[in-house]
Amino acid sequence: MIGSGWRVFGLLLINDIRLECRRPHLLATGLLFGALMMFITAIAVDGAGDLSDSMTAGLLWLNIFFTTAIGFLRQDRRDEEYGAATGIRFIPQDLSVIYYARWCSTLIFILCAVTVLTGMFFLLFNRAGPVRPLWFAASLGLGTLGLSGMGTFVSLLTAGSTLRDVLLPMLLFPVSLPLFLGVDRLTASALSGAPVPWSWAGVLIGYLLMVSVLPWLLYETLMEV
Amino acid sequence: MSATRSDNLLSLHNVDKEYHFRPVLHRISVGVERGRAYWLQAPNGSGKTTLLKVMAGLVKPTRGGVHWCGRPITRRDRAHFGVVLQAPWVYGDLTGMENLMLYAGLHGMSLSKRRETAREWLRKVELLHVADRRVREYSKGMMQRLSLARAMLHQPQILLLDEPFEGLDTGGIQLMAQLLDGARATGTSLVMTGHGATQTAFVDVRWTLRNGQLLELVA
Amino acid sequence: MNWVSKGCVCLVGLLGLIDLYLALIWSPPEAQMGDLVRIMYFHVASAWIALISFCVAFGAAVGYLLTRRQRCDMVLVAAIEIGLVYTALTLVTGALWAKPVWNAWWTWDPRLTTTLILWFLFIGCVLLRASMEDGRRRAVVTAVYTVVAFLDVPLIHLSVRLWRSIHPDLVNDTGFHMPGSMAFTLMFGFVVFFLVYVLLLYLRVRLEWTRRTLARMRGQAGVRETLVGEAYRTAPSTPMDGRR
Repeated sequence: MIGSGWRVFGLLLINDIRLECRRPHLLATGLLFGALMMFITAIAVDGAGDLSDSMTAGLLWLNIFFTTAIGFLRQDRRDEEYGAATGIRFIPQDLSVIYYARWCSTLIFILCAVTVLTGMFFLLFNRAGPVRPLWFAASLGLGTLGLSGMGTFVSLLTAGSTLRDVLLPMLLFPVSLPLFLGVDRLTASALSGAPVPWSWAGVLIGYLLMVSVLPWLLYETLMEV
Repeated sequence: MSATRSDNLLSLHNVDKEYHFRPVLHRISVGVERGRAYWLQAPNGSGKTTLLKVMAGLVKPTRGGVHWCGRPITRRDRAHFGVVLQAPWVYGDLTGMENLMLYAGLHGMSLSKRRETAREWLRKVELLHVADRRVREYSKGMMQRLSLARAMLHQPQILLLDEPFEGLDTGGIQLMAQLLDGARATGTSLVMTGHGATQTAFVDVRWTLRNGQLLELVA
Repeated sequence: MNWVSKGCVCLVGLLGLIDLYLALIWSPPEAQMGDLVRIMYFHVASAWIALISFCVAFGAAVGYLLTRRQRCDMVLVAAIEIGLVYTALTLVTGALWAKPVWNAWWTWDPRLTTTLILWFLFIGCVLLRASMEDGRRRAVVTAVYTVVAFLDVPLIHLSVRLWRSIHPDLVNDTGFHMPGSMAFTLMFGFVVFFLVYVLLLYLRVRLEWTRRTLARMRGQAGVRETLVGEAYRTAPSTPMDGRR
């Protein structure tokens, strides 16, 4: 049955990518909204190129967080339009495979958006590149991994809510605070070349473990009704 | 003569279902035998769809149990079900072929078998000519037929169909009835719902729902 | 409200008055903060009760997920709502205390920040619940969210602590760092706050139970019609077989 679980995972992942290519909701909204957010932020701080590294990292992640929260809403509507979400859930499998497939596909799309947004960020804020580019890339990757995982889960929680548009970011931000602080510090250290804050890397890994394990335990329960 | 009979595929035992504390189904005990067709006729809002969802395991009963072949139903048993509800359970941005291939894959078929099965079922429901068109562009009747193909492609042992003939033209109804009769002939059980009397000749048992209770029509 | 509830309210009210006397008059002023220290009796007790309430909510959420009993869901919603009130009280008294002592209404101290995040976490939970249709899914979603949020709290606290810290540790592993009379007042206040909490929890759960009973009665009233028509026969109590 483990083999068939992987097959379903692969199928759902490819399906998500195919759907996104046909009608790039998540990418388009992510990029456009993110670009606008970045532009507004740059205006708000007077296009300053002399911001401290921790402020720069904070602004970058703030934009990524908001952009991601908006993207999740679009993706779920596509599943619900013709009831495909129910159809997919009617598989004789452990349902957490649906969560992991969705997490993985969202991660790919958000990573694409984040890459473009980060490039834009350096341009608009007139910043030099990070002192430790590999660490910078790793912090972006890990942050996006945690954010897409928790976002997928929270988007599922808010599925039946009439206040979904507001509640998704409202629930996502407090729950992802450790992630936000962790990636913010790691990104800031990568930008400035300061020693790697290993304690923050630990917090980040702890958070990622939680995001990986909790849905496996709880997704089935959530979907039973 | 009870749910534990070996020929009862699916059985409900004293099932109650409440929505917002309002009873929709009340103490329903019923068995669905292998290879038989059941028609449930009742007006809107009487609980037809809820009953089908309970049978499919999509909705948990407030009280009572659902059994498959005499034992409590599990997630694995979903492989034996084909379900057609009001929503067609497809992706609007995928073609008919892609949708069927996706479901064939989810039911464990290999890539080559997926394509072959999807093509065969598109031919059966007379949608082969629009196989490569996005489902979003399908008419309601076409969507209904695609939904039936989606529910039948893995050869389920039981088919649960919510108002399968609604919105179909005469040709569509005939095609649908022919496919369902064919399935029944090969041993698939059918549970269908509708507002009025059955339009199909092969129905064995007719039910109705009144005040949440399942009644068998004898006349 | 029945006579027992009324009696409990009166008793707790009386204990509350005694607590006010102890906190505002009987206990001595602190050497540096003076009378300002009196806020502590309310601030610390509220904070502890808020934590207890969220622990109760967590227990009820796990209980609900394991048993699907309605009473667990009722305790869960009651504990979250009351926990939020106590958290709000903690935040407000904390700000009132912080202004004269730290010369700021708000500081980014780990405990303060964690408490505010806790408040956001559970206010989100209440909103989520309020915006969903009544039923099993709503209860499951509330329970699952509570479990996730509660398990996230230690990680939030750890991360905020790593971030920064200036909070005074009045009570730690080595015991109370204050005179006996102040410690007594603090503990008495805690007991009173706890009793108020238990009473509120009981009343809120009862209210929820009454609401549900009423909804059930309304629902059942709608289907009490007599069955008519000779063409029908009711399904037997054991599953019927269908006749060839």
